[in-house]
Amino acid sequence: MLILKLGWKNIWRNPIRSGVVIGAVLIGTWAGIFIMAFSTGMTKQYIKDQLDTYVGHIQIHDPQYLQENSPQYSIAHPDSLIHQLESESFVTKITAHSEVQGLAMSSANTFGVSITGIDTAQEKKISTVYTDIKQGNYLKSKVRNPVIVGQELAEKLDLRLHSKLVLNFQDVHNEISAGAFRVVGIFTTSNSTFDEQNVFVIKKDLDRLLDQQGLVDELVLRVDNLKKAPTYAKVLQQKYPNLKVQSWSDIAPELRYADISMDYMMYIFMGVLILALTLGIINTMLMAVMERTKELGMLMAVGMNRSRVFGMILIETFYLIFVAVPIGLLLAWGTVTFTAHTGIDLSAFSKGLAAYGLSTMIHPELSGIYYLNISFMMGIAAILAAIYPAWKALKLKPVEAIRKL
Amino acid sequence: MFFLKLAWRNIWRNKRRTLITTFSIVLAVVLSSFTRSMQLGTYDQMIQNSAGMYTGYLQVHQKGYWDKPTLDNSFAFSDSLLDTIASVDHVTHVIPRLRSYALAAGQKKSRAAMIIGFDPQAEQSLSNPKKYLVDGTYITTDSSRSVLVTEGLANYLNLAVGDSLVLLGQGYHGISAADVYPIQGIVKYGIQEMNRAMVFLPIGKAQHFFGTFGRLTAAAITLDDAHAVNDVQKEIQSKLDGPYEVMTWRQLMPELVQAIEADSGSGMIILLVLYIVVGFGIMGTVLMMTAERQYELGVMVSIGTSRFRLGSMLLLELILLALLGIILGSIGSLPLVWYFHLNPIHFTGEAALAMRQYGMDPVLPFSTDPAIIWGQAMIILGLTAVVSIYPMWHAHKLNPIKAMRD
Repeated sequence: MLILKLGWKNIWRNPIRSGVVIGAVLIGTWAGIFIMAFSTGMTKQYIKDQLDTYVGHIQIHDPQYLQENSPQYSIAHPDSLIHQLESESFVTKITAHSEVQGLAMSSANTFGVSITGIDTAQEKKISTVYTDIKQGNYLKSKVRNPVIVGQELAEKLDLRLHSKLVLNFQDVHNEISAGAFRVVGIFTTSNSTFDEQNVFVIKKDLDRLLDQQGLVDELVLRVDNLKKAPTYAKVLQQKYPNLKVQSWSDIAPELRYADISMDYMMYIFMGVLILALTLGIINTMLMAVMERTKELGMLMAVGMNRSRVFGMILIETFYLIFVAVPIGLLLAWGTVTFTAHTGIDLSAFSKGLAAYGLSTMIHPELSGIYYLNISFMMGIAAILAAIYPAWKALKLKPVEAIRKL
Repeated sequence: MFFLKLAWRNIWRNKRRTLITTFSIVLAVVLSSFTRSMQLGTYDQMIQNSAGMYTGYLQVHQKGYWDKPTLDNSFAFSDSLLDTIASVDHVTHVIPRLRSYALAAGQKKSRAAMIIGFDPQAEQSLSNPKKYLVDGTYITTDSSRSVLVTEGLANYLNLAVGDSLVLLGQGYHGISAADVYPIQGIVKYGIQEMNRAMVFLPIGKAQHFFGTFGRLTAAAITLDDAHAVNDVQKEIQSKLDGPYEVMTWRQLMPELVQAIEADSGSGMIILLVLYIVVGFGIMGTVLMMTAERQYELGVMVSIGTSRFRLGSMLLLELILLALLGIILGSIGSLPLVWYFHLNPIHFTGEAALAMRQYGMDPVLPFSTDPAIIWGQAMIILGLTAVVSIYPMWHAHKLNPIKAMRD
């Protein structure tokens, strides 16, 4: 009990030294957590942006469609399926596509594209492509056979607004079919490959050319939590064994890679940070022991036994860390919660981000388990950081210690 | 001069103190080098995965090809041109390509495909279809009439090895091009876009098909040192006379550059936090070092050493320690980053699966560029200089009587 009191008094006897240790641990904890939250928020935003543009959370096809890529392998009885899916608690939005691979031909060039027939009202709820229209407008049925194309494709085919574009493909009977479309809008998403390989037309127009109205080749779903999409996909797959249900992590492995590698990097970085903190604390405490050689020697000389000296230094280090970590955690939690609410606007100094398809508004977020992990790691670091200087203090020889200076 | 000597002696007077302070500086250099090497290694991997997989570090085209990639913008390729490029330092391979699009058809279906006229030997050093062959055999001779197709296309057209592939398209200056080729092999790339619809045709046959005899759309270049890319670009540009454009991967893949730049921003923030933490570590030891020497400093002031000189002496000591620390730290960092370069951290489980699917090795590579370590060492030196303000300020404020009494 006396040791506890003595240690506490000792750390406030030299407030600058204690301040440095507490400051380092506090800032380390706070900044480490904030950076993890910031990076997590940024990756999440990136994934969300990408999914909202072109993948959706879950896609449903006929299994044969995925192999053959022909529109005739469509989903049977789509209306009743959509109705059933709408009653699932986790499904928030659904849109239906007809889709065919074909050739886009302009007067200048020819290019292979994927042609998707969409219902504009439904599509807007799931895909954000309509916000990426840089020239012209989104699809409207006022014009006959309207089509929107990506900037990349427009350049390749030398297309401008109101240009004519002939789409050539095989219909559901494998007969060659073609239609002349009018470019009403040009979009630029964050993914230039997507912009090069996709054109969108009104579903009714495409279905007419494919010779089957109400054709549904693909259902795109949005669910309440994109992280849970793989689990939801499994649930749906069991319910509909005749269809192929895929979540975004199957469809876009590069996004899953971004998600996972982010986690790895963060833990390695946190490890480095904690190592730096631990060794920093050890160094400072070692110096402190050296500075207090005379004092510690005196304590030993007047009869304080070695285990108590050891205990006292140990307790002092603990105090420093256990004052700093909770404050750091609290501060981090406060900052993360606050910035998650307001968002951090990076637009001022990040032209690259926008071009890369990252939202410039970042909402940091971190789940509770990370706070727990970090507290745990800090606790272990604290024990390690405390032992060595205390052991060094133990090694002091009282007579020599007092004689010094 | 006298104070330099004094500072030098002071350093060695208390070896343990020196050791601890130096260690905190060494640690700062090692940890920041480690972190930066990891960050930059990841970018090298991204570049290697793109430039080294298909594009090459440099490409030579006819001027204007990149803006308008059509066969009409192809260029005549000769052995002398090849020799000129190959003779430039750092160039390891020159990979000739003729690239265009055509309709690829099987029995019932057809799809637009990218047709790549390739040199079966040279291409092995870049996109290496041989490595990704999943069925059939590789084309070994340039005179072969056979083709390789990607798995995505083969599945779509319902074709297997031995079947015939019909190509139908437009050749040089609008002539029509049509022919039938037997499929000799099927390749499967990890990157979906590459796997979608590509046909590899020996370059001689491709030139025949498109009517572009002796012409290429691009000569891709691989290097033995990725960092030399700008010098090589300049040298090739100056050696080639004629309407050519020489482009680096930075110009060929601006999206990759943007991706790296976007990520580099958050990387810098991470480093900044690390600097703060190691800075506090150094600060702690310096603070204690000053406190420990209260008595000694008090004596010096009272026997008439000017405070300015005292401060300079402390500064000198710290600079000497910092130099020692960054030299040792740089030496210590080298084997560390080399170790992780040769034995990179492996991803496991689902992460590894996702990376393989994406066509990447599931590892976290480290860059061994010595410039990284050097740069970090300089930053830590600067950091120590900032920290050294404290002992100087302390010398300025020191009350000798109080200092000696303590």
